[in-house]
Amino acid sequence: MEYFISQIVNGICQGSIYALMAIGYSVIVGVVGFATFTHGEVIIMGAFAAYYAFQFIGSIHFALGIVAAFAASWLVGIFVYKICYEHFFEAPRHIALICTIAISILLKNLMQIVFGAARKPMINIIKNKIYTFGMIQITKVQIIIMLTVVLLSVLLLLVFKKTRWGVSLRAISQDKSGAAIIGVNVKRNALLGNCIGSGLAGVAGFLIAISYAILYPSMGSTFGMKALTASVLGGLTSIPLAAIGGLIIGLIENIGITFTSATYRDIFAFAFLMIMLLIRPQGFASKKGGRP
Amino acid sequence: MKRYLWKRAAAVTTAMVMAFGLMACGGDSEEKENKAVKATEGETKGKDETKKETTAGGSSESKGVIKIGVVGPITGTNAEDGIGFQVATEIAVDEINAAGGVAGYTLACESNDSASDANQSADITRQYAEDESFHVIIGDFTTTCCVVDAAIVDEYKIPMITPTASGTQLPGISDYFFTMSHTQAYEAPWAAKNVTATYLGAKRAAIMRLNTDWGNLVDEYMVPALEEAGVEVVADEAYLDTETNYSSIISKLNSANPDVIIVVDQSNASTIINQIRGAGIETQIQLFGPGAAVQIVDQTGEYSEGVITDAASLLTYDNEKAYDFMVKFKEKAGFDAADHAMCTYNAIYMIKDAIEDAVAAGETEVTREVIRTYLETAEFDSPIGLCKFNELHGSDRDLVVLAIEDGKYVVKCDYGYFD
Amino acid sequence: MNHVGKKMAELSMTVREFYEKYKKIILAAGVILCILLPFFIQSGYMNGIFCRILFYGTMAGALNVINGYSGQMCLGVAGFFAIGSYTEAILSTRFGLSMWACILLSGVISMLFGVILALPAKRLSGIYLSIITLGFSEVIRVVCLNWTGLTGGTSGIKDIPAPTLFGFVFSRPRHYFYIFLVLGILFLICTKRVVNSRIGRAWMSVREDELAARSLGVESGIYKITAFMYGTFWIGVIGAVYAPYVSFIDSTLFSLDTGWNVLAMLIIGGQGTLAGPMVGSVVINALTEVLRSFGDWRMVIYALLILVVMWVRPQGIAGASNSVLAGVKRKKESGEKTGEEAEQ
Repeated sequence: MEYFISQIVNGICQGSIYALMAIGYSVIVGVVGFATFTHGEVIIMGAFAAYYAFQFIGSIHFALGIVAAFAASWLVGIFVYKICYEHFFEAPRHIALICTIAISILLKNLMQIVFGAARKPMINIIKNKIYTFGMIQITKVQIIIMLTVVLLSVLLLLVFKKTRWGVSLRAISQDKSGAAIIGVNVKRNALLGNCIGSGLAGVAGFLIAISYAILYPSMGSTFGMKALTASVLGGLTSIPLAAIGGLIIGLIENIGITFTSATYRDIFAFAFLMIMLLIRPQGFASKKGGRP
Repeated sequence: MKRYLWKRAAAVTTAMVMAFGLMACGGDSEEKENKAVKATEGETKGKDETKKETTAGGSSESKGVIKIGVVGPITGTNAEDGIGFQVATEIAVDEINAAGGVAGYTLACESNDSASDANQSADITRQYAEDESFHVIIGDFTTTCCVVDAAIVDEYKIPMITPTASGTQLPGISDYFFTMSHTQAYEAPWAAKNVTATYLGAKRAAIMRLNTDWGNLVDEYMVPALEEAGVEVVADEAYLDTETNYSSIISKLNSANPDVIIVVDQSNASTIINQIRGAGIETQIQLFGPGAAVQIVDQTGEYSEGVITDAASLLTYDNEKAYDFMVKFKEKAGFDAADHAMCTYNAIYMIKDAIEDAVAAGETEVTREVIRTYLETAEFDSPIGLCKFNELHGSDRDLVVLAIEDGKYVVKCDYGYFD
Repeated sequence: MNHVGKKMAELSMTVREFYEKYKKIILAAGVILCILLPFFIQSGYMNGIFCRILFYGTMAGALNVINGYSGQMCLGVAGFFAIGSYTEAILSTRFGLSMWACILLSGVISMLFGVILALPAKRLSGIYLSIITLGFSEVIRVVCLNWTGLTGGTSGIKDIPAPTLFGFVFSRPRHYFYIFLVLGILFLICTKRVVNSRIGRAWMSVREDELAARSLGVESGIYKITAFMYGTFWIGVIGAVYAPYVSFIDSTLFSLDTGWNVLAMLIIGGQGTLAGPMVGSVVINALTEVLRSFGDWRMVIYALLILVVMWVRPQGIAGASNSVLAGVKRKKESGEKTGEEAEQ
């Protein structure tokens, strides 16, 4: 029983990172209107940014890592937007999609050249401790990760609900031409949305690096896939549902591993997604037919 | 529409023909390049000779170049190992040439990237094999690639030495195929019996292993050996090499309450140690596979205290014999040399020894066949003990047991301890 | 950029006219040259590259039917390729079936999986279909890696017997070259006929404007499935010859990278035409060899190439220009553009 609970804790922790990635993904799909295959690389970009920030600045403060990861992925977000989306709003969807695939290959290989293909251990920035609450055992790293994810999600929600920015982003997400009519600068806000989504992905990458104590350029593709899966589960554009999708995938993976083997990890998420899409093509969302 | 498509079909064929022609030309130019390489080698050889003449008094004359083709994963997951092949070969070749070459011959090498992909590896091997100027091939890294390559070198009759691949199917696969690494049929039971049962005295072992041909093979030999030695295997979990989060596997192993966790992995060992200790589990860890890799200590800090591993070689900067190589390697590659690089280095010296023996035995021309024949009996007293091939062209290296104490590898049981 | 595009269009027009004039001679000469090629170039290395060009080209062509002609977004080529290869490898090593029988069987089994996968495709489109096919490819790979009893797991299947024909053993790349050549030509002929039939026209109408096609009575769902069936059948067939060609297969040969590779060939070569995928295969495989010494930079160059193609000529080097693939979204939205193109 204790073992089962510890697997659930592992699952929630992993799921919360997936949730953050999926939230970023959904913001991008919602505001920009295109799906992306670059998410995994953006995630790892964030992790590397934090890694090098620690090395060059010398400080190993948690907040520095978050800021570095967010800022670096924000910049990557601009780059991706300029190349993949800006000129293709009027073009058929597959063009932007293929561009993101190309960018993903490009970034992955550039990272391998610049940072080296070898696995790097992440600098240990949190003095680890283990807390026991009855049958539940939880490490300090896990608590910090979950708190960060919750905090960022709430922050994002506040931005979306309370600020002018957020309102125009939501307007674009719902109806592009409608938003343009009432005077929202669609292109600039799409860029902004893409950057916010990428930034969140970068922070998720940083959390992955400290949680697993490892980073290397090619690890992104699996995470990008998980983010995409979680986001699809949540109906692609809904932020809270994407978060739930991420949590569920984290849980399913860990419970699946408990009963079978870790070699099947990547199957659980996909199998669940396929079954889900067969039954409900719209994911958890109530309205039928997501846009992309 | 119909006519339109015919045009397209025509376009296909012409495009193909054109490209074929283009590539044929490309092939030509490549050959030219090779010639150019040879020419420059000739020059350097000339220099070497003059050097030699000044030192040895002009006793030998120019005989030619022995060209070594290196095939290894320079990109992809195993890139570090492939770069190790390349750099170690270059170091050995430079050393040998600087010392006046081998019995009048100079060595030259060329490296190509197989990206751990059997197709590409086969292409490169075939390319080397068809080019008459190549005498011997070093590579590849994975057993999968080597199985495919072995069929090719057998066909073209060119000797090939893999520094690392240790699949049990490799020894005896071809007369032209050699491996510097001992197989898992040898090392896994050795570690199970001597390290887990005898040295650690464990009763309950939990295994976590990489789900690759290598990891599964280790498991196949290790589990029966453990049971024979009276150690119960309480858990045995596999994971993919793309895995990054081991927490669920670790929880699973820990729930079986083992005395020792045996980690069968090479490149992920540090991450796994970090995650085991990070989860607050204090169980004894035994590593299998990475040998005495310096980076594990660097990457885990205090978490690796007390970790036990077996190794064929102890490559640290404290090891006087290996020191020169380690320093040269670090300078050229930018990271620390692992056992793989050392084995590559040794393989080149084995080739040197084979050529020397051949010339001493009166062979007038050093051909692929001659190198193959004399490799069988070649010996090299390397920085990590004597190297030679067994009758199946494999090698059985003796092993040491090491523990990490105060951030350093300490020999617990030296060579021959368990004999 | 518009200028470059115009120049390219002009160039392709002159080339096209040239073909128009001498197409039969060129075609016959091309085929004869292909047949004679292995006699001129004996090198196994070069012949290996020719084989790769042919089988990747055919595979990209099969994907073209799904992605190019019927306008869907299948990213799971590697999965079907694996199914075809493993079917042949298992049947020939376990049951001693000859490769010639396995070719058909592999194609059919791959097609069955294609149908299963295409069922949701009937309802889903765009990104949903992409993720499902991508997921499928990964699931197949992981299953091949883990189902040791059937697929040999991590140690793969080795010693796959070489096919024989009237006592002749196909053992060298230049022997396989002819198998791949015959398959490639067969594929082109079949596809040409299919594309020019009712089915092919239905595929293209679904691609150009699904709503309009449906309103004209085209059962878009059925046609999407047939496109999947046709494409995956051929991918399975190529897989079946690939297995004895490499004589050893394991799951690492069928990773997502293989899928991206085939997709890159299709996109760079051109979607929606017969020639496109072959051109793409020639370009990418030639580049692979030329750029081999560049190591990691090779993939960077591929990626840049894809981006350039998408920016300058989204339909690819030899793709269908008068279609949605060329970046023309809807006729009514960009009437100007189509008008311009019509002028040309």
